[in-house]
Amino acid sequence: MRYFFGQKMIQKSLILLCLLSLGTLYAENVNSVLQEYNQKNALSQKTIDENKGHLVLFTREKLERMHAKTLKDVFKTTPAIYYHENRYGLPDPLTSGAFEPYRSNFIRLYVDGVEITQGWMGSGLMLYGDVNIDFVDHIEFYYMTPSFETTVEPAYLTVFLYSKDPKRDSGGKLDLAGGSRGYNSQSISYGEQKEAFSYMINFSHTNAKRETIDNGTATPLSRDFERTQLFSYVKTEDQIFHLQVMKKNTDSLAGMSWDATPLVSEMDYLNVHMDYGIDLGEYWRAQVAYDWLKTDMRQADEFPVLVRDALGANTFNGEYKNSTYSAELTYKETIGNNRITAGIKGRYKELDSFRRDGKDALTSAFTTEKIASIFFQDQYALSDRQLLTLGISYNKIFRNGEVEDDSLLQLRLGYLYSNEHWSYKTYLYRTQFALEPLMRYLDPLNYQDVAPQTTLGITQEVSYTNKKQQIRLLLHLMQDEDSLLQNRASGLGGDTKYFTTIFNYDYNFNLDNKMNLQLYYANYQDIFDLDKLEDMSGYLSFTNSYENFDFYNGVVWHSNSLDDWTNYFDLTSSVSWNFTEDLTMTLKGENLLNKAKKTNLFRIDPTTGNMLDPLKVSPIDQRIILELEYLF
Amino acid sequence: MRKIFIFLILLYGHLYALERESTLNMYHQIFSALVSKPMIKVYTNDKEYKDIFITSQRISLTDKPEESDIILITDESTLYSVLQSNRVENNINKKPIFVTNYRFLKKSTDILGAFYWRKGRSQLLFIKKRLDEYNITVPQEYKDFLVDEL
Repeated sequence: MRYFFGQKMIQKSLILLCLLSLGTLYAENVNSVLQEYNQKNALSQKTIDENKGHLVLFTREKLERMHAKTLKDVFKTTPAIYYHENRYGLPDPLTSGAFEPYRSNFIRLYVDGVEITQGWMGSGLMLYGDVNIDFVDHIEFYYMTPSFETTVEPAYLTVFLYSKDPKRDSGGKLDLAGGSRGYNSQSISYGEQKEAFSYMINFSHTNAKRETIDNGTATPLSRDFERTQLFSYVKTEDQIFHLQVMKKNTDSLAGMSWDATPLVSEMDYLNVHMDYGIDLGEYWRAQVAYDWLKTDMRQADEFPVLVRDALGANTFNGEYKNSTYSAELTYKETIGNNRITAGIKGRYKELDSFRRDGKDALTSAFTTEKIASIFFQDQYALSDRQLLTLGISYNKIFRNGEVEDDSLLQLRLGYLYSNEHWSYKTYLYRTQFALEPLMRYLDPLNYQDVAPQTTLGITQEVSYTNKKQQIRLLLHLMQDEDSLLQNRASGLGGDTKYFTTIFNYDYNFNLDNKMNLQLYYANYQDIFDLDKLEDMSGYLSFTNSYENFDFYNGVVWHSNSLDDWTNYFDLTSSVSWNFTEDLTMTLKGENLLNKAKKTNLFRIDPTTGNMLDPLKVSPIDQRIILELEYLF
Repeated sequence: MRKIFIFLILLYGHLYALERESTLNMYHQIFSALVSKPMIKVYTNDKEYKDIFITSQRISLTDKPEESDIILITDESTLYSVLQSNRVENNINKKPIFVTNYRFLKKSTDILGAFYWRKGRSQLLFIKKRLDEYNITVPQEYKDFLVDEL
């Protein structure tokens, strides 16, 4: 009996010991299990498509730690194409600082996979380049030619904003911020997951009091703006509907003044975007979108303003309205080792009206552009580690008013390899871009019939990843033929050659402490009337947590040969105090050293026609912000 | 292992699914900390979690809350109906509840903890006072995830 009792006791003790050991073993790993869970279940892991291009990712965690409130806060840290604003104070990363209306149509912006476009006026980036991102979960920047399933019009860089999901962000959030010069913003969101559907709504208002630019007169250039923004969606398992509205009233910096001394320079925008997408069974998906933009410009100068149809007038009070209709039908199926994607897309851009001084002024016959596009893409799995990808897209652009039509052919060939730690991908591509309608409309004599730009390129990316770190190197060679960007003032048609490289090193010390490093180098041949231009940048950031406090420190560095290798530093720091699970207070400083990158804003003396010294303008304000965030 | 299949993730739809392996691993940790049994009976009516737990060697699913060792709740309507039945049980056969939403913790002291998302990071939280009521002591390694009360 004693033996039996003893045996039972031993058995029980062993079981208990096993359980305890098991518990301890699991518990010992709880931090690493949690870290792995975080990495694998970030929503970005569900949307990243390695085949879309070369990715720079901002996860939700990173955005929260950065306290990024606008897309600009994120864009200013990216390599290759930097955040810039043009002479109208609008987000225009490819601006030359000269007199062109808008230049960044090579960059396309998407919200939840649907492009936001201003159609006739250009890329959606024009208004959404500094959009309030309180509704956003994560952001993906894909560099170089994207896969054709995402784009209606060709692009170098595609920016994808993905909204929060009520399953993780149910309930409400109120965010109040106040800062230097009277800057203030308010944002309120609410999302809910119901049994059959979920919805989210975000409403924000920003009164951006910004630094003025000294132009040598008693009235410095202003770029303050007031923006009211609505983002909303409702979605089911197979359908989604978005409604977005933005009203932005802005002081438009130099505006239409040749010498950047406007008497009046204001622009007001009202923008509506709607889209609806539905999965038609396992393979098919249909999507329609509508974008509408009203632009109200008020410009005055002592001398004639720079719009070509101003007939020498010193004022320009114009109101443009334009609509864009987009539709697409795509098909995806896996057949054997092939993942086939094919589809047709259409876009119709129309300049609805143009009124000047309250009167109809739509005299040009060129008012519409129709784009029809067809694409096919095959991703062939050579093995469980290797993928070959081939894409072809053909776009036909029809224009009215006897303006020449364009045919664009895009080709993309890629190879991807991945194992547990290493990955490699390379793409060879040919892309063609057409000049945007606004340029043709504003200057028909010079830009009515312009040949498309053809770009040839090759990219290579190699990366190594383990639990603690990721190292990545990207190399890129590209050549433009009949460049649309090449010195428009003296005529189109130059060829530019590019070599760029990006190096990334990310290190996770633990769950609470992380570091990111990014270095960028570019060498351009034959650009902006220059034989050679070299450009370098870097971004180093640290995110740390200690008890109830979160810290972010990030510095962006820029230097280029055009600027005699002047070094620019944009230091952003923030500290957050999480009072409770629901209430957080943050103190944030942007451009703390007041040395953020500046670019030239060119000026011409209207009396002599001579070039004046350009103004140096930074799109990044120096600002201290106090922010209060309440979850309910 | 990260395989080439990740390149073929081209899903239609806009619903975000949980990653199975890491989710199962995490819930093994959580349930093992709360229940000292080699096989843990779990009640949940969330289809996504059911699909994940069904592959587990250490979790068995049950359709009846009263037969479970622990109840996992992911939505508010289920929370109310389970809380109601817990009240009926009148402490005799009350089952510990674990949730995936921080706000649910405020609804009842029968909820021992939560595993939820906050600002892009998952958060694990156990409430000591409530664990004590169920005579549960989580291993020492979980002390960073333990709060005395809400």
